Amino acid sequence: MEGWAQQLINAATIGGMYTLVAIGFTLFFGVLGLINFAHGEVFMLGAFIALFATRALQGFGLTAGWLLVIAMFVIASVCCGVIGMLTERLAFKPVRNSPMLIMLITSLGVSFLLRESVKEFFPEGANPQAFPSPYMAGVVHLGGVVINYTQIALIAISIILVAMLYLLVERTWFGRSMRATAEDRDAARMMGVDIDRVIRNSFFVGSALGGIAGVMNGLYYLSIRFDMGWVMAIKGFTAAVLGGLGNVYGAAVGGYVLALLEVVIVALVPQGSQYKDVFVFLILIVVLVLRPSGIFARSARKAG
Amino acid sequence: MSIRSIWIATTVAALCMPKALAAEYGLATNLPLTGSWANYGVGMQNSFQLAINQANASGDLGANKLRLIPGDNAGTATQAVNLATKAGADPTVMGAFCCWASEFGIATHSIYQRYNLPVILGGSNDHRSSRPFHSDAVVFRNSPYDLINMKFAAIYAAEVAKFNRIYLIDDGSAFGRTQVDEFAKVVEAKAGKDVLIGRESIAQGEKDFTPLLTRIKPLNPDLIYFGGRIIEASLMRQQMVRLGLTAPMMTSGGTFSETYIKITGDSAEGTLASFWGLPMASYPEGRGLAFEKAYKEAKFNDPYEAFGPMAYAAGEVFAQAIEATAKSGGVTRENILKQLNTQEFNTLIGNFHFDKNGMPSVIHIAIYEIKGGRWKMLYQTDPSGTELVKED
Repeated sequence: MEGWAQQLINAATIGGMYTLVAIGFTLFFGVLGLINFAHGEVFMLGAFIALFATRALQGFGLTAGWLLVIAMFVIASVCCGVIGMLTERLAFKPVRNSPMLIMLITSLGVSFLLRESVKEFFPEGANPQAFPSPYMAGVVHLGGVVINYTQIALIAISIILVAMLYLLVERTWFGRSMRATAEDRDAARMMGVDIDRVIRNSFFVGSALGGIAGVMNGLYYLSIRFDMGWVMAIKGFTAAVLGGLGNVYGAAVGGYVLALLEVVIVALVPQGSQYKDVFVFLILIVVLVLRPSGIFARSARKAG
Repeated sequence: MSIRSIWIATTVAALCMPKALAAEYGLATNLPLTGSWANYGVGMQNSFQLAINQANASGDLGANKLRLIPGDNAGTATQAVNLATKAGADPTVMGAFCCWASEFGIATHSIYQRYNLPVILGGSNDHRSSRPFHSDAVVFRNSPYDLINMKFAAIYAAEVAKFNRIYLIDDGSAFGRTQVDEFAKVVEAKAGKDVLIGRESIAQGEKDFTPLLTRIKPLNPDLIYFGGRIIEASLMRQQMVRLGLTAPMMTSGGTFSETYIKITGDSAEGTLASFWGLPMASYPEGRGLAFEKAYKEAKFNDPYEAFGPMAYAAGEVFAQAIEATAKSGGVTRENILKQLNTQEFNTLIGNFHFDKNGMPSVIHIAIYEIKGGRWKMLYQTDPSGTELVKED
């Protein structure tokens, strides 16, 4: 029983990161119909921006753990949000009315550009970077279950962010505009919704969440790499598809479901650790064959 | 032609002669200078460069010079193969030093053979990159391969430390799998099958091992043997400690590094490793300490790391081989090969020659443990290379 409780905590920690990345994918797909593979690199950029900010603050003598962690999240989320808006404006808006394949290729190009830029311009960017995590050593023992402070914080942050997203989507003008745009862009425009602004702000929100997930990844695994975005992009996209592409709540659930699937496979299947991705994608295919719109079977273009 | 003209012509020719006879010989590296293993690759490159610089400055080569041709394989097999081809096709390159990663040694030995370019393997522990497991006569190594290394690691685990609940994990790579296979075979032979309580493979690049370690924890292992490399080993060790898995983790050359201690932090304490190198003070006649001093004085930006001594020794071997061929039949790849097969070399790691399979006649294998944030040698092989002797 304790083993399974520990596995649930492991899944909740990883699931939070998948969820935040998946929500970004779903937001972009909802408002633009775009599968934005550059989102994985925004996740990576979040981690590197946080690292850069930490080093700068430490250089100024600011070393308090709580201050560094807050600064990491705030700076990474804002910077990634801005980067997301810029990529939308410069790369995706010009091809918005082009065939979907063009937009997909554009997203791959942006992904490549962001990844190689970090590799080239970040000091020793090609090498793995140690990531500071001030509260990693502190643990809580609940019987035989071990949970460290960082895990508690990460699980809490991801739940709070999903709750805030719910409020944003359901209770704000922006959320209504976003849902309207996802439902029918032309109708929303005729109803007075500034489509460009909605799309731009959606990119800000989705990318900011991706950046936060990058910081979480660094805090939890204590190291980051310039090429860590691609794997997370695949995982986040899978979670979004599992939950129902275009459905924000589906993405939230999809992230945790994906993490749980991975943990269960490793826990139960011999050699599961090496082949867990194979099993997970197999299950994804089965789910999509039986339920093509994902777990939450709604219209694919609905954002909420 | 007047006598004056003849004198002028003769004088000019005499002045030009030494320059015409002097030549520059390339030595190419094929190392991970960027990527996950750059900490090893850069240290090896610098050490190899140091040996070349010292050879050039010593005057032993006469008017000839050695030139380093750096090659960054970036930790990818494709690039390693490209570099091997490039070095082989360059007629000014007389020798190569490759590869650190076992997979690259396996991928490139036939390429070096195709071009008849002598290559010394630094690292590349998998036996399949070395003779007699293939017949490419250009391949030499100055450290033992995994079958030998793992034998002593297993002897330590089974007979010295007497671990009796060993869980095995490999990283799915050729290097990692073979390490664990060989370790398991010898442990089983020494201590019986029941000592091995489980085995799992992970995927390289994986970051989260908490589900796997959570599954292993109730089995109460007293040793986790990990066949893999530094990043995965570091993450695994941190997560082990975080989950309260108190058993030590044992690894080998893929992890034996100061960088491992740096990125793993306090969790590194208690990690064991078998490695084919000694502390600098343990090398004969103060050669290790001399290398350390020279490396420091050269003011490289990065430490020489665990494989630096092997790289330096490889540079010494090439320098001595080229010096000998320059004095006898001329510096060609064929003549250097002949020297490598027959000459006795005086290097940092000892005086040795290569046997018929390109293996060094002197090997060092040691068992280390991280204590107080540093690798401390516990045991090393005796001079005959047949058993482990405790370090005082």
